[in-house]
Amino acid sequence: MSAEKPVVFIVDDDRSMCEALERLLGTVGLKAHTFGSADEFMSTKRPDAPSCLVLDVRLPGLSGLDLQRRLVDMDPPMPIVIITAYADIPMTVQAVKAGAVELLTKPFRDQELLDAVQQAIDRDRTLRLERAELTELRQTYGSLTQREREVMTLVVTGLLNKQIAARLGTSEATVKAHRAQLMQKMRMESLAQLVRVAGRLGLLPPPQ
Amino acid sequence: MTQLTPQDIPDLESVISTTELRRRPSRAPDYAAENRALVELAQEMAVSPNNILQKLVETALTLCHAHSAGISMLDDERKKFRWIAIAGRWVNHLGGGEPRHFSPSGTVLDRSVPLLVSHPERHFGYLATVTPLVHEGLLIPFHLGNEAVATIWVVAHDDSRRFDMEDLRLMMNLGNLAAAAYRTYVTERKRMEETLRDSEEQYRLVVETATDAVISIDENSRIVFVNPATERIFGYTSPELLGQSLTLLMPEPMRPRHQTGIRRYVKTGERHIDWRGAEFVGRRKDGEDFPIEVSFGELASNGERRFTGYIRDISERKHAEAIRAAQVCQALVRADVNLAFAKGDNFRAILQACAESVARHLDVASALILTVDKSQKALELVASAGMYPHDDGTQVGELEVEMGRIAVGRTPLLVNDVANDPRVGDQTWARSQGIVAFAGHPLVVEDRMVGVIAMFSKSTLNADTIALLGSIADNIAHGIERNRADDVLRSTQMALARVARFTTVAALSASIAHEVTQPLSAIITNGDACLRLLTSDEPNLEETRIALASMIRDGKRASDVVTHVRSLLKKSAVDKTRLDLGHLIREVLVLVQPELTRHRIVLHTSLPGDLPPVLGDRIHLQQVVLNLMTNSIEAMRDVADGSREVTVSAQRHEVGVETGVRIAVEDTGVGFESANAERLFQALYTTKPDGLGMGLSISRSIVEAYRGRLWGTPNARHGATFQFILPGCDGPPP
Repeated sequence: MSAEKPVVFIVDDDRSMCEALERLLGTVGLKAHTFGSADEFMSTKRPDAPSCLVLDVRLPGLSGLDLQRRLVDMDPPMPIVIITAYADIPMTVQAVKAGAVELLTKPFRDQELLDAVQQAIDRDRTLRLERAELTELRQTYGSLTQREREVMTLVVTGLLNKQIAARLGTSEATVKAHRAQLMQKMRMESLAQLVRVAGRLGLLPPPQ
Repeated sequence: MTQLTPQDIPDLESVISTTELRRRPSRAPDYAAENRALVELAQEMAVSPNNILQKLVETALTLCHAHSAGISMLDDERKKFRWIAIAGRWVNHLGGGEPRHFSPSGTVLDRSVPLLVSHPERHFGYLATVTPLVHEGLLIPFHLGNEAVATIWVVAHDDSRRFDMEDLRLMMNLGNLAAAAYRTYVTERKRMEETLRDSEEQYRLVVETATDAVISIDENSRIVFVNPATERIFGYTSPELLGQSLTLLMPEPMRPRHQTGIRRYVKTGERHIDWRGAEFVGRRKDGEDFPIEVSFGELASNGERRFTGYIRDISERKHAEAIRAAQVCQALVRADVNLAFAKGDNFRAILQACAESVARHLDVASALILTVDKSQKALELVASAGMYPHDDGTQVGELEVEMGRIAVGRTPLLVNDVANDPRVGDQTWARSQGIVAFAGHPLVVEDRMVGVIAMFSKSTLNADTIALLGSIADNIAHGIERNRADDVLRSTQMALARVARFTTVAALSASIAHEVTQPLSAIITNGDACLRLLTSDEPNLEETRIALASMIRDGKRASDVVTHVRSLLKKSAVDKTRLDLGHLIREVLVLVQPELTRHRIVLHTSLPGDLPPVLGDRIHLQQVVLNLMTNSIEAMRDVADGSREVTVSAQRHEVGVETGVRIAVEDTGVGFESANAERLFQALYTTKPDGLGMGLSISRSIVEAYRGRLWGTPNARHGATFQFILPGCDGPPP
């Protein structure tokens, strides 16, 4: 998991605005990278760190909203703070629908922007954390044997050892052994914890 | 000539007089001449063996002082002699002959001796038809290998020449040479035939593999040969074409011309067209007509006249030419369109220039540009060039069916049978003017339908025309678009000119606002950063200094934008005309009436008809009135129904030396604080939630440009009154 410091990307065709934003973010200790166009941003390699994008809507070439549409497809999608000199209702709706954390009209108050950026970074950090955890969980789950996975799937649906043994055509003692084994491998301490994990892995049957 | 009966025919011996030779005195040999002749003959054999037999008989003719000389050669079947070489007076009998069993040459071969014959036609009757008659003939045999296969002979046609032993000697010498000459001749012929076969083979190869169609016809225009390319180009198989008339490959209208032309040529040799690289139209089997380039030549073959033509399918070349022509047209129109926009005339003048350019360069009967009117329901004719039933500026209402179809469907329309096509409106007019085609293309700017460009033509149009029209439409649309967005100058003028659009000032302001907001936002953000930098535990003064410098720079940038706009407004105020403000205001009221109705606003007017004229630009001043009206309407949006009223009044203004007209727009809207009265006119100041603060600023600039004044006052009860005074132009100079 990344322990790197968060990074803010700024895409605005106005050089002065880019610099001013970088300076403002610097006062709260946030590192920023600035880009003059969406294409420039897209063609630059981005560090693996919690990040967010401050994006001007009116840009040369690929428009800000177009860029937003592309970034939504990222995993996890990078949170975006839209800034615009001239926001109308359709544009706002479109931006928010596409997952913008915040839409600020230029000129905006500094605290508004800093709050929005912080919120976006927090969201990204959480998303990245969740994704990393999930990756780890999937790996652990992958280390279980076929039989252990079967036992786990049945355990989390609430069946007793006896019932599981009957279902699998084996002895209760064997089920018990598998169960202990898989709990240890998955580093689980309680059934409740295991059920939660099973949910994240998508092992639970859909609710009735 | 008397027909002789068999018993009258003198016998063979009576025509043979060989013994005479010995009785005649012999002339002296001329060895020098003989040698010369033989050397020449040998040289000829080396140089042009093909001609050697002819040379041989000519030599005989010369050396023997004969009147005619020739060679009779047996044919392959040994039944007939053919006269394969003749010189002298009999030269026109070349190719003739005599039978093997009944002829002087036959007798020579039978007896294997030279013969002298006198008037042989007495015995060999058929020789009577070969004139001039043989008075005396000397023939010697001619051997190839061990076989005598020919004779070589000299003839005297009258008694001015009598052959003797010297002639016999010479002829015997020539006879010896003749065999060698003949062998040379035969070898050469064989070689030539092979060469010919080779070249025929080459010709065949060329023709077979040619990409052009090669077609041969006979005198009656029947096709006697086609190559594979013909099949490919015209779509017929070779059997389908052979024996058919060439007219099969032509469109109907060309057929009689071709028939007449070829008949005349066959008869008189006179061509009605140039047959080298002439351009025609061909017709494929599937009925498609296509342009072709034809080169025809004549060739006699076995006595028959053949005409062979090379036909090239030039559709692609024609297409490329058409594209080039279209590109040139397009470039010319584009240049005109750019020029029109660059001149920065009013919108109508620009579109008029565009229409004229289209009519001129596309060579059509008329070109029209229609724009969608403000109700978005009808199209208005704003520019037309060439002939058209409506005068420029006519309100066209729902207009012609075809234009509406284009506008609503946003798709181009092409009609090539205008007089009968229900999609076209004014068919009577079209018919009377000989109009056959119509083409139209929507004008779309930034995905917004703004109008239609169309044209009527007296000749048919095709998809290329639509494409061309489309590209011109793009040009015009692009011009409109660029004009608005590219630079503030033209965008300002254009936007001001577009009185018909209710939201002009708002649109203009949005564009200016963006320009101004950018630096302002940067200034504010930098300012915020500075405050934070200075209030932190360790103030970063260097960073603060850089931020401040940047703020000053951006401040100037914002100020420049505003100054620029103002100066443009002042500059554009040069076109001053005498205006009746009452009339001008009534025009604006027509424009805003729908907006007033929508917001349920009651309008009062007081516009006397005897106002003194003022100097100004009609469009600029309409813009001011329009802006004041718009402000009033927006100010009343949040006021309860029933109390929304706007009063527009004009009156003669005479206070002291100031004379002119005063216009007032009074509303019952939200009004403003009197303390803010002057700030209202500053650029970017606004009290409206979605206002941009440019309208009043621009309006005041305009009024001041015409030496007037514009101000606003809050009303006593509610709402506000904005008024402006413009100096009258018949009063004393201000």
